[in-house]
Amino acid sequence: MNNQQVRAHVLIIEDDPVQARLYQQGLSNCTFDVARNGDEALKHLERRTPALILLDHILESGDQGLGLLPDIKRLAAHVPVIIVSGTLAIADQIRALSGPGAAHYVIEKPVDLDLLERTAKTALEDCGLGEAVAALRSLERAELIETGERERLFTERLARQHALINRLRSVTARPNITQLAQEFGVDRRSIRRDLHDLVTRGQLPGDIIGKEEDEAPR
Amino acid sequence: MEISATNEAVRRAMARTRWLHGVLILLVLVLGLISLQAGRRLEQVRAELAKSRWHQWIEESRTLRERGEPGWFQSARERLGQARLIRSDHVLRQAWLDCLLQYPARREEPAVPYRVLIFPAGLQRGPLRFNFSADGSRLIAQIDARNVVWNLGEPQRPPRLSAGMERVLEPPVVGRVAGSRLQARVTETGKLEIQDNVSNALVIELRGRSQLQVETVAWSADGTWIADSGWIAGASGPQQRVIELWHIPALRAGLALLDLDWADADPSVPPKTPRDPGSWLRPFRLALGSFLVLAVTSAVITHQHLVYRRYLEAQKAAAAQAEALEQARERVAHADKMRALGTLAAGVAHDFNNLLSVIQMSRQLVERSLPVTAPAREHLTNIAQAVDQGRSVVRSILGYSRDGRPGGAPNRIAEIVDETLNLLRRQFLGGIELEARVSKDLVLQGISRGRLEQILLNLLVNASEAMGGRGRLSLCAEVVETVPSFTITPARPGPWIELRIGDSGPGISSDILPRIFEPFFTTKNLGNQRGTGLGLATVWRIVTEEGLGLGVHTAPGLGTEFLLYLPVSATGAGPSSSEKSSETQPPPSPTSPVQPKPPTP
Repeated sequence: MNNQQVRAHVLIIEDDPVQARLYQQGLSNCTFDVARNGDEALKHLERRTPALILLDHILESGDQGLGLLPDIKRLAAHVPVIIVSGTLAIADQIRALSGPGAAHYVIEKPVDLDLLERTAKTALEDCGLGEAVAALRSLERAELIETGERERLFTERLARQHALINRLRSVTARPNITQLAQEFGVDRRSIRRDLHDLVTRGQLPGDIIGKEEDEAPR
Repeated sequence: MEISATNEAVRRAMARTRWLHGVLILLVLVLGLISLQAGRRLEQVRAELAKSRWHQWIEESRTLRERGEPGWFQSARERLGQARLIRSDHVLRQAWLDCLLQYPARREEPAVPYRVLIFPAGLQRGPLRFNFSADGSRLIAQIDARNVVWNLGEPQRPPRLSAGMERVLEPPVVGRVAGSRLQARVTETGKLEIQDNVSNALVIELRGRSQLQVETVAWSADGTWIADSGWIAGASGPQQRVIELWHIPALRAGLALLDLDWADADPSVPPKTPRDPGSWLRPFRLALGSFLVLAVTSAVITHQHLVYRRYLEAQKAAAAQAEALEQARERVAHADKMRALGTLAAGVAHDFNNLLSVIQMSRQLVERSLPVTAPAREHLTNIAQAVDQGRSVVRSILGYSRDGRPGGAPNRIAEIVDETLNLLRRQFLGGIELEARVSKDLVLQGISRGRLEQILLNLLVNASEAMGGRGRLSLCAEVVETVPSFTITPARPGPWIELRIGDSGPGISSDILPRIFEPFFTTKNLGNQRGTGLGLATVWRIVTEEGLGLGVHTAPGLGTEFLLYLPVSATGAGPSSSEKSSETQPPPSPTSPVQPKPPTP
């Protein structure tokens, strides 16, 4: 339990169990849910928001990944989506990557696992929450949103939480709240509340807080 | 086929109609002759009938006259007008004259053809003598040694005649009427006869009447008088107390109504046989009617012929359209088949891709687990190569273009051809004699360079493989306006650039020609030379998608020529330098993900 690493949660939407398993083996340091069709995928999304979605275009029972994309984006707008497809024409790929509700990447079959891994890493670190924070900061700079204390605090906290996730994923050691508080320039209570938020959102495993609380009185 | 059967029936019907036509003409001719004869016979019958009617009329007229009915003469005249049919019937003529000439002199009209002068009652009977005055205007009668003079112009009391004017007329009296010489006499039975002495024909025979009989006829002595004034006088009655005067021209006119006259001039000429003007008109009318019927019948039959001919033409047109429809249906069926095969190919590609994906990922996982120096890595490399080849097969199945840009910019076709040939020269065209005649002025419009290159690549590789790497390959391009037939009809009308790619290979036999564009259809089944059967299918797909035209000319042993019809640029403008630079961009690597969204740091 102490060796448990903070892992990103990935939702794989793929009708072929062999390929789904291969993705799981190829993407180390992640936890997985596998959905075989659109309905399953949406159920998983309602239950838990993943950090990354791997979406095959051709699914079970005639579902198509591109058709599913708007629903995914409705339930989890900030989660990066990698479309895996062998048959999408260039024009369809461009369509999938364009406009609001667009996917982030399209990877063609046969899948090169190294490429998939690199892409997933980039997506986890820089897309999703990272993009959202960047957008909020950009909006603040453009003064398109109120820069009152509460909103600023929200953006700061969001940015901090994103950085926390990236930090905790890259190391297997327990999170040292005091050290993190010094590093981010906030008090320990804020860090603890961030961790709690992340656990509540399903972006961190629940036992990480327990560990911290054990450590906290020390 | 149904249409040809109908045509045969129509042709038979037309032959029958022609035969009917002939029969009808004969029938009409026979009918015409029969009606001519029938007309003549009818005429005779009608004459007989009229004759009997005529007798009846005369009797009626007589009865009316004897009863003293006022309208008898008028009705007799009217019936006379209907009596023109009667000719040369002496008895009838006589009866009519009888009827006519007994007209009592009650009426005073000057048009009355003659007068009956009644002597005053109490006149003593004595020798009666007539004479006319020298100018012919008066009649002088000598009765009981008294001269009584009548003005012939109008009735008046007879004046006394002077002694010197008396003249006794002796019968027979001879006069002249219109060049012929007439002789008038009173017969023993009391009839008055006027005879033409030249033709010796009896002109008038006035039969004696119940009470009055003509006994004396007066003429002018030299006969000239009659010719001048045209009067003739006679006395009749038991005591010769009735003097009758006849006006010869009026008499003649009355006779002419009956179609009667005496000869006027040359005695050697036999008297004319008068004819009923209706008699020659009737057969003419009948003949005319027959020919009218004939003409109408001919017109109807001709019209029928025309209708039949138009019907036949319509049939022919319908057959041609049906054939065109059949061809179109075949084309559609072929296109459907190609589309179905395309869908199948896409399905195959999808499954194949998934399999390749599993192989690739599994290989990578194995590779990760192996130490760097493991000899098994060599096998893994083989697997990687096989997956790469598999990917290229899938790509050709799906026909991804090297360059997905939608067309629009004008391109010089010569440059594209050169580039493609350069690309293939080393690998495919080594032992092939190449002949390319493409004008530098030909400019394409509306198709991307990459798509055309892909078509050319496939066609050239196909030609090269068909020739087994040895032979002659020709490329030439020109602008054409019309093309007799297409395998794929272009979406836009001409003119097009016709690009002909001919090889000197074995040609394509007609039994496999319809299948050469099907996916996975290949004739190269030997060993390493096995084809994918996707080259021409890709050509078909791109040509269809881009709305281009395609034709194939081939025969076994004579090589094969593919003809590509490309949209020609209206402006003819050459490519700009920017397009040249864009064509040098390398195609996107198949293994790199498409990333229009750069990741935000």
